[in-house]
Amino acid sequence: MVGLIIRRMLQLVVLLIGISFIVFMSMHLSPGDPASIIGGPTATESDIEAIRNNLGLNDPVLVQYANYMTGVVQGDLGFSYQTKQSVSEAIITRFPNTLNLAIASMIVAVVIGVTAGIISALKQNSWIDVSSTVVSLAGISIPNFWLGTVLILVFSVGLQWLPVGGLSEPFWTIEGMKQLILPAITLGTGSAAMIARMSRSTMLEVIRADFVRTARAKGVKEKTVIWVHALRNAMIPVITVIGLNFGFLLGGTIITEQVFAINGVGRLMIEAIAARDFPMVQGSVLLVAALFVLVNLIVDLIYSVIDPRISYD
Amino acid sequence: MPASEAVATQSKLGKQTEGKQKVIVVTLKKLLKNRLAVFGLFIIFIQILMAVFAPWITHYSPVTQSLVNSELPVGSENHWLGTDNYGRDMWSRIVFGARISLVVGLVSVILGLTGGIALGLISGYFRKLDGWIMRFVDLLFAFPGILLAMLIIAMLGTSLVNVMIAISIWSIPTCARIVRGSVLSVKKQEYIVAMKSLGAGNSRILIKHILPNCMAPIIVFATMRMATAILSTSALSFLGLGAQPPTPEWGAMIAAGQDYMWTSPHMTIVPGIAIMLVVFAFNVLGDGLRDALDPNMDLG
Repeated sequence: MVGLIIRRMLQLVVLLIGISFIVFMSMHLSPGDPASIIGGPTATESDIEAIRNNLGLNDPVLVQYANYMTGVVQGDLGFSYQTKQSVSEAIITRFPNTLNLAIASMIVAVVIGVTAGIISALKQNSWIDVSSTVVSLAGISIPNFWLGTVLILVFSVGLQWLPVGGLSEPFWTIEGMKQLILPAITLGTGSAAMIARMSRSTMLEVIRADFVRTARAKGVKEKTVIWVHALRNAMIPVITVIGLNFGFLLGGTIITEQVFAINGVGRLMIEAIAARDFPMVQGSVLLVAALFVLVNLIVDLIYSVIDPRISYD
Repeated sequence: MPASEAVATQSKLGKQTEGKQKVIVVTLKKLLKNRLAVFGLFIIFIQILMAVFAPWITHYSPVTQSLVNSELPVGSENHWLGTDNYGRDMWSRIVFGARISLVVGLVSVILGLTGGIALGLISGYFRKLDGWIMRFVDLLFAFPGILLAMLIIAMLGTSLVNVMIAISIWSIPTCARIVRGSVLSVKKQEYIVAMKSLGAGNSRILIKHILPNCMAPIIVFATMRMATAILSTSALSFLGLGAQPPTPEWGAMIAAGQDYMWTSPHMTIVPGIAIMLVVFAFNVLGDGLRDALDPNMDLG
């Protein structure tokens, strides 16, 4: 196990270097000269040249990348062209909102998805199963930015039960939770649908397996058969889907934050793309991608712990 | 070639085509038994009709403003789906939007498939290149969801064409992995070994003999990817990174409608339903195709 963790950590480092290189190069190859963006429309040729020298933009690209990475390792992601603010600081202040949103959506997705999937499988071909299958397919197909807008229209504007947007209060307060409900449902629906489909199919497979029949033949109570024997085995592939979805939820927060005016990393990224603020784009993309691969690694490790049949050696 | 041999070859070729036709007929029969898939096909057929005949089935231009008629509700006289804040006919905008979403979906899926199939074939067939290509694919997989597309748009700038490029690049890694998986299982089969011993070149084996046998997962992937491409295009346009006003793109229409949510909710609701129906249609058709072709298909 220790060997596996070390090996995977080393792979992770290589992957992170690769990701940072792709992100750095794509920003470097973008049209537009950062020095003229920083200098603004009134800057003279010599001002721009001075900015270029100052930022090291005249160095060879690999030197620039090495300098950038030296900063990244020390937690320095450069500074924004637009606000002149430190990118790391901007991200750190906004990241908690993104994380809260992703975790809340994950909870919504797992609770709805696993419950719907198991009930569907246990009542296969009943009207519950058919409607749950159709609803999950619709869940995958709903554009979440639209769902968010409609939820605001119904619950915030129409019924006035929940706030329209923002995430100003801490999540442990009632007001904070109220603010999180609609964004979490908006973001979690797609994942809930995917988890429901996966849970249904693995549960169907497991309840037909020999060991479940044997358990029933031994006279084990139906509840024990389902909850102890079947569920534990059915959940193994579901955990992978859940883990993968957490990464996608991190990516998905970008849109949800925009709909609900939540000040998170996603919104920061969109504003940065629109303003061609490359260091900000670079920093936020790097953070989300790094978290994504880290979560995947953790899921892989959990997977090998809960299922002894799986070995990466 | 003696005449008898030529006849034998011809009848063999005939049998092959017959076999292929049989597979298509069986698949179609299975597909048509799936009610959801038939519903999907029906919706897609309607979208294609709307896209092709857009100028003939609408009375108004999708972009010409008429401020006297602004924000008319659904069911208004002359504007059955109402109008938007600039008085543009919603039906015209939805119909022309169907054209945009279909074209963007098709172009980005075709481009993505071309890149993905090429990488997958090379990676699966040539062991020496496999490691390198798959590490590159892993690297692209490290970007969750729409993030890779956004990074590419950040690089290229915001426009609908760049959205197509971004979505096609985003499709490449998944497609490459699926194709590689199929190539690995197909290339061990005896007829490929036989082709090699007969002296067939690599490109001939790859394109004429391996690729056709990898088509089933590619078709399913392409159908499902249409759904993702249409959904992502509208999401990116909603964020202001894709189609720019006054283009009648469904996602951009929802973004514009947000400011009028209290007074004219139809500006948001109608394009949302359009996106959902079309994406649902491609998803259920993809599901149906997978069940008809091979339910145990591994889609990466």
